[in-house]
Amino acid sequence: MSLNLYKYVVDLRTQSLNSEIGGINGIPFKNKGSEKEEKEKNKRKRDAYGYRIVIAMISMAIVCSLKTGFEDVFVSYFSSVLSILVGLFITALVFSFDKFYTKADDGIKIYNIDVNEESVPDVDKSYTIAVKNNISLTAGDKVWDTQSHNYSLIFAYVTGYNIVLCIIVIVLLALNTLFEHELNINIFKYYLDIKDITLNSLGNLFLVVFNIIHRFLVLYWIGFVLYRTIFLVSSMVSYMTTKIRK
Amino acid sequence: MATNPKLEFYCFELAPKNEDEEKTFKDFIIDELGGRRSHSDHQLFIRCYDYFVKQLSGEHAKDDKLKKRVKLEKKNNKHYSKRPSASAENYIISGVINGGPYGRDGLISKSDDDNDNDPLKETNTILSYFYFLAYLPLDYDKGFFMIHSNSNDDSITRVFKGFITKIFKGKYYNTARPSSYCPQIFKDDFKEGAVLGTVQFQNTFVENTFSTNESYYDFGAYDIKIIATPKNKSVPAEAAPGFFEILRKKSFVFRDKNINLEEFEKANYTTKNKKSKTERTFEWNKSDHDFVPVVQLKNRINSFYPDGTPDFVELHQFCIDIFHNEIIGEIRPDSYVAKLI
Repeated sequence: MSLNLYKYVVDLRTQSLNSEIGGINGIPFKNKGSEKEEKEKNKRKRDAYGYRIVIAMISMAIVCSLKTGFEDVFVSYFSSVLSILVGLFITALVFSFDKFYTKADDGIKIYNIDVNEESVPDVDKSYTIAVKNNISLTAGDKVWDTQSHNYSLIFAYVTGYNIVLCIIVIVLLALNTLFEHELNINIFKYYLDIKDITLNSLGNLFLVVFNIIHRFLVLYWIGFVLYRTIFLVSSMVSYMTTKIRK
Repeated sequence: MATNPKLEFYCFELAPKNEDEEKTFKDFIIDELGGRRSHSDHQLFIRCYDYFVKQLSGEHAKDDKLKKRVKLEKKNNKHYSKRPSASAENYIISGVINGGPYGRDGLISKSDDDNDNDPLKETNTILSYFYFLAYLPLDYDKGFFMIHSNSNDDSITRVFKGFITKIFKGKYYNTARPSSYCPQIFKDDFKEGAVLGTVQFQNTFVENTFSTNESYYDFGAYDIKIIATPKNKSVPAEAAPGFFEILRKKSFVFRDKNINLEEFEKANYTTKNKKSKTERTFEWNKSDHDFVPVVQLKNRINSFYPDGTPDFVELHQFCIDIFHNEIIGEIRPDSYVAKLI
C-alpha cells in the first residue's frame, strides 16, 4: 500500500499493546524467555485484555438494545467529540516529543576553545578539549530514567493509536450519514429462512451482519478511546507532579 | 567441632545526619574518606576497601558488651590467602576474617600432652574463621552483607553487624541502620501455601544428683526438646510468630525452678509446603527478637574442613552465585525496571 500505511498502522497497534503490557517499569528479567518472565507477561496480558473484554461486552449489550442504528444526534455529537480529541491528541503528541524524556547525558563532549595570551594578544591558540560529564547516576536516578523513557513511549504509542482509532470511528460514523437508510435498519425484523435463499435474502443477510459489526465497532472503539483518554490524562498529571517534586 | 554451618543475611542503610539528603556510598567515600568526584568508581571503591580492612583492627571491631571481636590475623592464619578482597566492578568485598569471644579466664589444655596447658587470659581472643560477603554499591544508599556462622555459640554475626554499621558513621553520617533481610527464594515457602509444622524448643540440662542406679550416670547431660505441633494441619506459616508468643511464657520445671521456654538455648519452627514438598526451618534470633530463615549449608556445600567449617572456596562461589542470581535483583530498585524497546 502506498506510504506503507498498513505497516505503520499495524506497527502502531502492536507497539501500543506491547507498551501497555510492559508498563512504566518494563519487563525486567535477565533471562529472556524464562518461565518467570512468561508468567509475568501472561499476567499483564490478562490485565491488558481484561478491560477490552469488558468494553466489548458493554458494546455488544448496547448493540442488542438498539432497535435501529445510531441517531443523527449521536452521530453528530460523537463526530464532534472525536474531532476535538484528534486535535487534542495531535497537539499533545507533538508537544510531548521532547518534554517527557531527555536522556541522562553521561557521555564525553568535545569543545573547541581559543585562548589569547596577554603578552601576545594577536595570536590565538586553539585547543580541543574533551569533557566527560562526571555525574554518575544513582540507583534511584536509573529508575527514574527508565520509567521516564518507558512512559514517553507508552504516551506516544497510546496517543498515536487513539488518533488512528478516532479517525476510523469518524469515518464509520460518516458512513452512517452517507448510507442513512441501509445503516439504520431494525435488525430484529429480519429472520433466517434456510428453505428460501435468494440473492435478495443474501444481500439482506450481508446488510444485517454489516450493521451489527458497524455498530459494535463504533461503540467498542468509542469506549476504548475514552478509557485510554482518561488513562492518558491521569497518568500525565501523575508523571508531571512526580517530576516537579523530584 | 563446628556444627550446622549456616548463612545469615542483613541489609543496612546509610543514615546521613541531614535526613533530607539521599547519600550513596560514593557520597560517603567523598564526604568522609577523602575521595574526590573526579576519581573513578574503581578508585573510590578501593579507597572504601582499604578503609574497611583498616577498620578490622580499629575500635569498631570490638564489642565490649558481647565480649566478641572481629579482626584479620596474619600470623598462623591458614586462610590468610582468602582474606577480604575487593571486586570493584561489582561493589563487593568478600573473604575470610577471624572473630570470636574474648574476656574469658581459663586454660587451654593440650590434647596430646595431659600435663601441659597454656593460660587463656582475659585479654586473649579465641578466633575462628568466618566468611562474609559485603555489597557496598557506590550508586545506592543501601548495602547488604551475608555472613556464615557455625552455631549459636560460634558466631560473629552480631559483632560483625555492629562493625559494619559503625564504620559508616562519620562527621556527616550517623550509624548505618541495619535491617533483617531474607532472600525471596527462601521466603517462597511462606507465601505459596506453606503451613506451620512444629515449634521446637531445646535446652541442655546437666544432672548433678547422685543415684544408686548406675545406669543413671549414662545420662549425665541431656537435651530436653519440647515440640508443639498444632492439631490443625492447615495453620498458615505466617501464624508461627503468634504461636511462638503463646508458647514462650510456658515453663519447664527443673530442680524446682521454672524455666520459661523462651530461655531455652534454641527455638525454631518448621514450615511444610505441600506444593513444593519442601520443609524449611526458621530459627529464633534472640538479638533481633525475630525468626530468621536458616540457610543451612549442609546440603548446599559439598566439602567441609575437618572441624566442620565449610570449604571457603566453595562457599565463596555459592555466595557469589546466590548474590548475583537472587539477591541483587531484590535489593536494588533499578533491577525492577527495564527500558521498553
